Amino acid sequence: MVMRKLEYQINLEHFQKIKADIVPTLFTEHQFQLIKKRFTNKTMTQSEKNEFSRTVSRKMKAIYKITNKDNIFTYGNIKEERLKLAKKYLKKNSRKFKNKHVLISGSFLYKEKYNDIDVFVITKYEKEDYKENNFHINYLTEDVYSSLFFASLKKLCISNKEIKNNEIKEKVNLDTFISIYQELFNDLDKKHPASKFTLREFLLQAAFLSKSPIPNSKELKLQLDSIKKNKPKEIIKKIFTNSVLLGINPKIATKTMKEMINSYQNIGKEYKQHKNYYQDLIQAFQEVVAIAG
Amino acid sequence: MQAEKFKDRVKEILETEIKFDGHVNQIIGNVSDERQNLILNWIKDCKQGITRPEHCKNYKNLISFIYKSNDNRIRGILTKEKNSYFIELFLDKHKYYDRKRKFLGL
Repeated sequence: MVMRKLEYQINLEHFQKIKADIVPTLFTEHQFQLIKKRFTNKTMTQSEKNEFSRTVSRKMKAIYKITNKDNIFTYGNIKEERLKLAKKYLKKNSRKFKNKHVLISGSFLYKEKYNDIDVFVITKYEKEDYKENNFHINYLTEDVYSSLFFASLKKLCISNKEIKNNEIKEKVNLDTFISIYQELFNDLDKKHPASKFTLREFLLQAAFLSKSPIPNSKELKLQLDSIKKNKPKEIIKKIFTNSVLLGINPKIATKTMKEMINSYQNIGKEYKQHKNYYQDLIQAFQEVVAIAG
Repeated sequence: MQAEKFKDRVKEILETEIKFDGHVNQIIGNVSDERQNLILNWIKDCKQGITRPEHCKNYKNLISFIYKSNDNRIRGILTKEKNSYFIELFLDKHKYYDRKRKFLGL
């Protein structure tokens, strides 16, 4: 028997503090221990699972209904006049995506003008995103909780579940950073419409590597707009250099940068027509070598 | 155009036998002729050196050309040995493209 996701959340610390008020009035000592077990993800026997779902869980749902707790959690500085609407939309989408973790984030929460309302639904399996009226429904799988993207998203959002402080497990290192830098440089050069997404990922990795606070969606948007208004390639070269110097061991950084420079110089020999582009790209690598080497 | 015909066209353009990776049949089967031609034009540009290759960090003798459709839904990676022949065409969605990039060290 697989335990279903619960429609309610418990703050265990608070739960422990109020034990004298609820045991034995609402729950027996045994039931109290079962709730603790369930919310600390400890293994439960089959009979404990049965008792939990048949008795304890039903009682908990009833208590939630009596207290009219709306299960809405807000994070970050949300525009006051949007908060009420956002709550309404969250409730609507929580009903639509029953028992799913639903969040609303993006410019709707902080900007006067916005394109659409970003709704994120956490699901087990991947699904294509779609637009419906004003809403942009984005499906995310559960591994998103430990990603840089989510670390940014959770800082400014409204959620139907309390968001835990998940550790970032996404692999972010010098290799991934070089990779996103190359991709971004290429996107910017081709003026590809996807460059804003690549730039966002680049900025998140840069913050993480240089041990700076992960920017929320509003801060990211401000950075993005400011970079695009100026000379994007020049700015990203500087961000790349600074982040590598701040976050990577100088010996490793120098060795890797030298390898990258050599490789691109070799490619430049085969593709002479693109030599200028490669020269521009490796400037940031050369800058790292000049300072760290 | 059927996926097999598309693959033949790719080999004709590159003038070599190459491998295919990713959900190529599915991708080609689900896009319009116009989009298929955009991908073929990109292959021609790679062959003629108009498109720029990138360095593959994990395979130092390889270089790769990247394709991204304008709506960002289809991604492609055409791999070539340095100063030599084309090896493989990968076509797929974003998620698989990211895995392939990591694998190649792009």
